[in-house]
Amino acid sequence: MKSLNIASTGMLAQQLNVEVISNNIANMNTTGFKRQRAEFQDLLYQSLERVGSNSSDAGTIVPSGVQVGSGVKTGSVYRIIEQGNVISTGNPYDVAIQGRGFFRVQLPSGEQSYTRAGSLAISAEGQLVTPEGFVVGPGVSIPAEASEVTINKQGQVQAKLPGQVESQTVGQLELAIFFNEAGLEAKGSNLFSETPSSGAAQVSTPGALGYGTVLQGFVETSNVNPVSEITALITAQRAYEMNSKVITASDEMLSTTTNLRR
Amino acid sequence: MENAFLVSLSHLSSLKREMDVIANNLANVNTDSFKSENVLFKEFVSPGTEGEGKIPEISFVLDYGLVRNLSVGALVQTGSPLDVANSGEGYFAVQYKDQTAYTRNGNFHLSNKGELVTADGYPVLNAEMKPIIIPSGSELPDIASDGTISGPGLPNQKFGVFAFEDQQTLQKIGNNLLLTDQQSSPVAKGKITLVQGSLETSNVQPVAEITRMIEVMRKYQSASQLTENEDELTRKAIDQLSRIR
Repeated sequence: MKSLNIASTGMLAQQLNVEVISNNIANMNTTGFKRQRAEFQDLLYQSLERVGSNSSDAGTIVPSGVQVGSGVKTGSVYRIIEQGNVISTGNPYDVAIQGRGFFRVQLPSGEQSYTRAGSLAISAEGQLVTPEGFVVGPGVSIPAEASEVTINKQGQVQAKLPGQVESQTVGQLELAIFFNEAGLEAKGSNLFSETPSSGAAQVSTPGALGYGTVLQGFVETSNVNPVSEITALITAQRAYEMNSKVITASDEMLSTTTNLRR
Repeated sequence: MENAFLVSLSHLSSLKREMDVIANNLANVNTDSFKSENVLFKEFVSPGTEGEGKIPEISFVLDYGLVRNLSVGALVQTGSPLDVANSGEGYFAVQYKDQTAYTRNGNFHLSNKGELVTADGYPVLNAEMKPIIIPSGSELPDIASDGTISGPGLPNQKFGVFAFEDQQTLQKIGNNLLLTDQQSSPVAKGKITLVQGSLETSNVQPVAEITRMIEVMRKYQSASQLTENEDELTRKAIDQLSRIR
């Protein structure tokens, strides 16, 4: 019976839906996390009576035909690039991005990676690094004797050096944007890497046209909305249950058929 | 004498078909912009014969079509700036291979070339039937309720929203897409109502579907009862008539 398989595609889809939702909820407090959403599509249709076929030799046409679908599949699990809230931390090396853009991160393997989680720190060599110790591109070195490090909206890193009255610019943060940010591949640890569907990174300074600005002393929270996630979870669970009922009902119909001949 | 068998067979097989349709509706209860379907049944009368060995008219049941519930599903807010729900009539046009497909699912993305595409990468078309382009370096667009796409540095363009005379015959091909050879006509400007950051959910009503499912199951059981009784009758006939005294 077809309905058995159709209902099982429904159960599989809802299972994946719950997985996506649970990952969102688990990352509710992850800095810079962007929530995901599963999008479903209907599966191929089997035309048992073609739409528009003639129903008599007088040329009358079947009004709607019989097209039986074969269930559901996952179309995509896409990332919703919506600005998270920015919260004040008071840490001078916490930098939130407001608007579009990602920090470039130099992985130890030499690859480029991208992140929006701007909870940065200073390495032993005085370089601005991510919590994992990876250098933030293009590389900003802060001298050991520097004090009062400020990062302005345009990403200029300024510090006061001993013996000087005015702050000196010691580096410049850069942001990368992509045609399709949702097409970036998540690598874990809040890192993303470029893919053919995201397009190539275009790097510029914060505040340039189309780029976001940076905000010192703040971090961007995740954009997960607990209320909508819980609502989605309830919907997914009920949909799962209903599909399992279809399997039960189809099974009962099959057993009726089997018991026809006693 | 086998007529009763055949009548109940026609009933059983149409009920199975109906169950498949219900299962498909329930499987798509969370599919954006999915439209629920219902089976249409009609009586099929096989003509009787006159004269000797007269066979009376017998009526069978036939599932001859599906009717689509075209009501607009509830809108759900997703927050993604490229999700566009259509809360009124009409369909978005999509470049599907070398033809134009239509969809009500406004879950759009950007391609690496800056084209607005569906989740499967098919370009979305504007009112002039050209792909919608969001060039790089521009902010994500604002989409007005009449379909106008605007933003700094963006070319002036509008979502193509098209209507059809007969929406029931649009052929579903999966992936939330519809194909047709009907001529489409653009929806009048004042009648387009798009909502940015939202999607149209499936219009399947779970309670109604579950109720129908139970009904179909019970009908199936009673129809099979008829077959069973007929079987019993045949068995008795063979048993008793063939008894040689």
